[in-house]
Amino acid sequence: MISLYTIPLWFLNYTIILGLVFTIITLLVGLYSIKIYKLSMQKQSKIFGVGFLFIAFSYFIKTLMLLIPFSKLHIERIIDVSTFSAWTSLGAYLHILFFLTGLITILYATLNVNNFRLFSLILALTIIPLTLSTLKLQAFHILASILLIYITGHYLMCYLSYGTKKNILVFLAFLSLLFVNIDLIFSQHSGIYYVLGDLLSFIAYGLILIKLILITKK
Amino acid sequence: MSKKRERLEVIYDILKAIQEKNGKIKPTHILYKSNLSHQMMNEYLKELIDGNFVIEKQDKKGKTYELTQKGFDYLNKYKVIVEFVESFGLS
Repeated sequence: MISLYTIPLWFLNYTIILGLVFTIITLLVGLYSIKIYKLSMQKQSKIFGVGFLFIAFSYFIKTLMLLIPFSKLHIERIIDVSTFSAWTSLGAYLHILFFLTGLITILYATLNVNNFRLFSLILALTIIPLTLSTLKLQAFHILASILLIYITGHYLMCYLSYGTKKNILVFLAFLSLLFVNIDLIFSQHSGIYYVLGDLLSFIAYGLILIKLILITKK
Repeated sequence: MSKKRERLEVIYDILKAIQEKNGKIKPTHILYKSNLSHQMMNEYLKELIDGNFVIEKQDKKGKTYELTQKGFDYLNKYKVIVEFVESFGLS
């Protein structure tokens, strides 16, 4: 059974709304990236888009995981604890799996290589330790942080090497997501970590959305 | 970063050359306009034909290349494509 986040009760509605917002933003980035691929046949755009679609799906599942048991509770006034526990565990596993797969796919896109064996190796090296770990939630955020260090490093190198300010917003967004995952390692101890994580995520996806809007206005 | 930028630019140059010749061009003109080797030009043209950006036609005077709607779309959206690719570090 997977241990879940400590979410303050007052924040429950907000986290559901934010989950939906994150789903929509990541879905938009994924779909727009695939549109760019269709226009240009640039493979990295397709891979990047698929990565964001995985992340969109992971947020969608997380939101459903929070929404359905509580709506059921609201309607029926009573909920079977084992059903609730099984539902949230399944949702958490799927959220973690899709989120990590999304990050790995984005990392693979930034590596700019065409080697499926490399992709499958990174996937295996991420999923296997997670499966074997007894503290799955912490392991998830540690693995996500490692992947995000490499992704953020890529955008930092782009900025330093080419002196272009074009990817500064994307760099700051992934840096924020890195801080989110470091913060969420401690989220089982206190609800404040979860709230802080959601707020930082909002900043991160907000920056990505701003970048996307600026691009589409060109 | 520059390698992929070049690829997008080369494709733009080829498609732009075809557009400037009223949407129909001979391979020698492409070679001249795109500043590529013959082998590289053929590789790019194959990619563009496979991707449905241009169509190859053969008549008595030889081969010509024409822009498809997708080719026109690429030219129209070129700035957005480059902006997206560079902003998200995909080049």
